[in-house]
Amino acid sequence: MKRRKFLTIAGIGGVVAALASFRFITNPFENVAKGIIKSELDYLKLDEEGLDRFVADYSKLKDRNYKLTMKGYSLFGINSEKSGKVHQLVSAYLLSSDFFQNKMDEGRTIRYVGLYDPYLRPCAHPFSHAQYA
Amino acid sequence: MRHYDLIVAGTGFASTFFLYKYLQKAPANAKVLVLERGHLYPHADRLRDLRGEKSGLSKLNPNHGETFVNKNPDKHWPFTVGFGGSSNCWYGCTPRFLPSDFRMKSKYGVAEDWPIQYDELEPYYSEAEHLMNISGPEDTPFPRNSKYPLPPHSFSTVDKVLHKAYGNQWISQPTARASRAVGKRNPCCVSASCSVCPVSAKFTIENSEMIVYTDPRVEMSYGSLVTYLELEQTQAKKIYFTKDGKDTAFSADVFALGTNAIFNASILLNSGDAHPLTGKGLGEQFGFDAVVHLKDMENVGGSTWVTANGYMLYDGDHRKNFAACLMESNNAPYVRLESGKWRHLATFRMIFEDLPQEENQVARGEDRNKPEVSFNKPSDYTLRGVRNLKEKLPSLLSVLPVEDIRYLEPYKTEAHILGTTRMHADSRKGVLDKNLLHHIYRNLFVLGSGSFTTFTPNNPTLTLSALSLHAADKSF
Repeated sequence: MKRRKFLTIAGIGGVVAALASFRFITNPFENVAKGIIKSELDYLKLDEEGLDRFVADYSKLKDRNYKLTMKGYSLFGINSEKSGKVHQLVSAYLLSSDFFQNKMDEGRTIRYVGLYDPYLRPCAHPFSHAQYA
Repeated sequence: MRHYDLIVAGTGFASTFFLYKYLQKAPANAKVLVLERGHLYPHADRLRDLRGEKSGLSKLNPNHGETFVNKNPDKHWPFTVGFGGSSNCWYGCTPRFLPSDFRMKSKYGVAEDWPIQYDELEPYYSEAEHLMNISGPEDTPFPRNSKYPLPPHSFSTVDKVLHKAYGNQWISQPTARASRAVGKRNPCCVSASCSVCPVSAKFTIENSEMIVYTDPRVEMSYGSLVTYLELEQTQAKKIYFTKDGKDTAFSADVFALGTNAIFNASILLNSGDAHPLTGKGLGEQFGFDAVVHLKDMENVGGSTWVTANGYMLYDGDHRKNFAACLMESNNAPYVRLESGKWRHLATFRMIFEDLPQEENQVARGEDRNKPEVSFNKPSDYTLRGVRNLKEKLPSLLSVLPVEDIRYLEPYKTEAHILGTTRMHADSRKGVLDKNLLHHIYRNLFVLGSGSFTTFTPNNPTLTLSALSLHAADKSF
């Protein structure tokens, strides 16, 4: 490889890496979480405003390390098949929505109803005997 | 110096069930002192804190992690400090042991036999189940002379298939998560956050109706950290504790340590316990989840967090070579993230027995109140059991429409602390006798799961409670 070609490729690589790093640092967790959820559930209709409120509420429960990890997963395209944390985030969104109340109707727009938290809303397990006697 | 008939350290299951039986038998003028390191942090205030309402009591008791030095951060030893001990964080699973669990040496040539056998413990199992109002099924793989006080929890659809195939090898889990309202408890509604139950369905010392700590013969001393005992030849003479920064000693006819398997051992080591096995053999079970995807089958309808226990890989001649496995059918609100298959999955927790290994131990720390806890790894016996499970599970689950099985990373804890003051009929091979009395110091009871001779795959609480009832009944 000629020196000029090598320098061009290295330069482009450097710029891409710098842009990725910049995006990693500046992109807020909320945007990252929203992107993950939309990508995982791209076959469902999600209420945008409710999704914003969910990620804002969820973000308050999570520490810096968690948020950095999730940003890394997003950057490298790690999905719910490969990461329990990604799976947990998307599950938490669905459990916090009206999706299960509406009997998993995939044709309806999914709306956020409040964080799934047994201490705020006990007895809300969507698959329990109360729903399936 | 104040003198008592009995001084007890700790207010968890081991102490409470021991005191319950002792007080039934003790005279009206008996004098009992209970030393509790922490304080009562009421369930209502725990809930307030978990809702973010700030009760102001969350710092009342130390976090368990601050109380000892863990030499292996990959291994966790959770417990709760304060009144009621780990009844404040347990998940309420109460299967009995099987008769063969007490005879590992004579039946399978492995480890040691317990000095007490199932038949001797059976009436105390029954009494403990009634005191805790356990929910459970009619037919179980272990013999019982009485019915469970509450009806069993409902199976999930997956459990129904497994129960049909395996009968009493797949049963509704016996549990202290109530299936019906009883006393001060509500029925479980599957919040799956059992450490602090959102609806108070789980038995705790606080919500129990065992009149122990309000008995007029009992004097409570909160904020009292036991440091050591004065031991003299065959007797314990005094107990030393720190309260409000002041060291105090009281004497008694009888002492009972009911803290936990870390601190019971630590107190004995601080006291110069002459038994060479004290503190050695710390252990517990080993576990991980198997996530099973199902084709066209919804897993729904269970009425509690763990809906069933499976015994298909538990008992048998294989225990000569590898560990028993107890399965739990986990009914937490897991979701499968695939269109149209949201609950087409089952999650089973696989729990393996382990054997005591002397290098796993509690030792004195630089600070005498902060013992050092070392744990290397589970035994090869246990790991062979894991390999067996992975070979056999596809065939066992073939009664279900299984798409695939995925094994998750092992848990860092099964939340049990066992084996640091093991029982044995031979005083050279164990610290305690069958009545939980120290082989050397004959007025000193050492209660709780530190006494377990071997580590069956079962949750230990029901058995350690029954052992406390038995010990007090046979000794007074």
